[in-house]
Amino acid sequence: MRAEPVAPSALDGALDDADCVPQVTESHSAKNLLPKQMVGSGPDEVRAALVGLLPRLWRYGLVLSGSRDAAEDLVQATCVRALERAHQFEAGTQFDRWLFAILRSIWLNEVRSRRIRTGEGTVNAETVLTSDGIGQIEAHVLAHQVVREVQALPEGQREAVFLVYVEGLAYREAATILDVPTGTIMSRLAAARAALGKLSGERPSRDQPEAEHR
Amino acid sequence: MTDKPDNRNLDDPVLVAYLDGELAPEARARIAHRLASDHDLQQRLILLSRGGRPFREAFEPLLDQAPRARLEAMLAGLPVRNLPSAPAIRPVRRWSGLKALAASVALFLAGLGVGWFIPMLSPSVREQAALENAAIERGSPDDEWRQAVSEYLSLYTTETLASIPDNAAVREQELSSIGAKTGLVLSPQKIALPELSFKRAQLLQYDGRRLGQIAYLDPESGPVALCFIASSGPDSKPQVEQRQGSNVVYWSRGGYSFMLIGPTPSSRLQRFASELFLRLT
Repeated sequence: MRAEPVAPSALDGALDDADCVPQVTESHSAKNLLPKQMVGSGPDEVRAALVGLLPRLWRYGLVLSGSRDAAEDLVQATCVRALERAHQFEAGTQFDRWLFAILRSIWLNEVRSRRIRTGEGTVNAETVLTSDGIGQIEAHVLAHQVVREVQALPEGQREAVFLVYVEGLAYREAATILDVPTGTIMSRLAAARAALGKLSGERPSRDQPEAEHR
Repeated sequence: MTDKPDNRNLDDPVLVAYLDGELAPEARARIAHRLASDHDLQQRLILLSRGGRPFREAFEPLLDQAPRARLEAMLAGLPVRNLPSAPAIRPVRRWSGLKALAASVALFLAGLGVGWFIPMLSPSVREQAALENAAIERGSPDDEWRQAVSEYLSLYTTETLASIPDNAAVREQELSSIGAKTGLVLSPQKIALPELSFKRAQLLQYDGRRLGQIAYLDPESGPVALCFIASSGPDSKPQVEQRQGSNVVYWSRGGYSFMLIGPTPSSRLQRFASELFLRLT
């Protein structure tokens, strides 16, 4: 079953100046995540901290690209860039967020565009991820289904859902990484949940997962 | 599209933020107030709530599928520093310039007759040093920092440190400063070696990495230094070597490589090192 998401464009940016979001600056640039002055960190600290985050980076790469090979390439490029820019990392900033922003910018600027140029197009996430990713854990029927549903969402919604609900980022942190206003994160999550909510309504109640999501 | 945008959809983002606990208290109160009496809004909330999933749990198994060993090997193989478009090659040995400088300064000092290390070199030590240097030429980056330190410290004399006035408050400040900059927790108690006087703590740099140096004066043999640098290598027990005619005990622990170096006899130096090894993590 494929999700039929509501048009995100209708909602995008509708709440840019929402007074309902606490401590939010309207727009962040991913560049702001690369602070000016490094304090107390260097390539070795970055390398040591990277080791533990490799699986999460790989998973983000997999969610973005839908391909295990591309995910691995993305992690490698992210590590190279993080080591090069170790001096830009500011101690006290969240290291995983910094890496996510790097990985995503490599995906957007290099990997995805190269795939399109070489005629590969973007990967159909639904088929690739479910067949070579989750396919190996058929036992987890519900997990399988949830991942399928998320991967079937339009890219913007998929990323927002992944960063906020899977990685547990605050709205404004996800907004910083995706370089959009916080209101856009809210709109995308709302569109995704409206689509997923409709899917739940179409299924027999046995399949309805609890609304717990964070 | 099965869902035509209507006015109700405009409330969806706020309802989702409400569900996610991302609303400021006033906004939260406002929407709760509306929900109490607005049936359509309640229906939207139910729909959006049904759109929740155990997302985190569902994506958890993907972490186990990451090719962890391959990724770690890839990371370990990346050079410490290279320019954005440079090929992945090992960086040039940074200490060669320092070595030349050290040699010239050492010569200058030797000319003044204050080089404390030169008379110490017995023929066997010299031979061993030559062997070590040969090994170091093709050695690991972990060797290189120890070589750089030993060359730098070979310029120290008893006089270098003896002239530093003892001041506990200043020393403590130095320690906490380099502790903050290197991430290693340091205190006068942790680094104290009863038979030696603690003279100075400094932050140095090696190959773009912060290097902490704690200098002691051994009344029996002269300057002794504890140096450390962040390292991604595995922990290792204290090992012994000689460089530049000085004895060295080195080990790795908790993400740092340490070395204790001085003209002090090896057994005595090892005793000091075993104390520091236990205290510094």
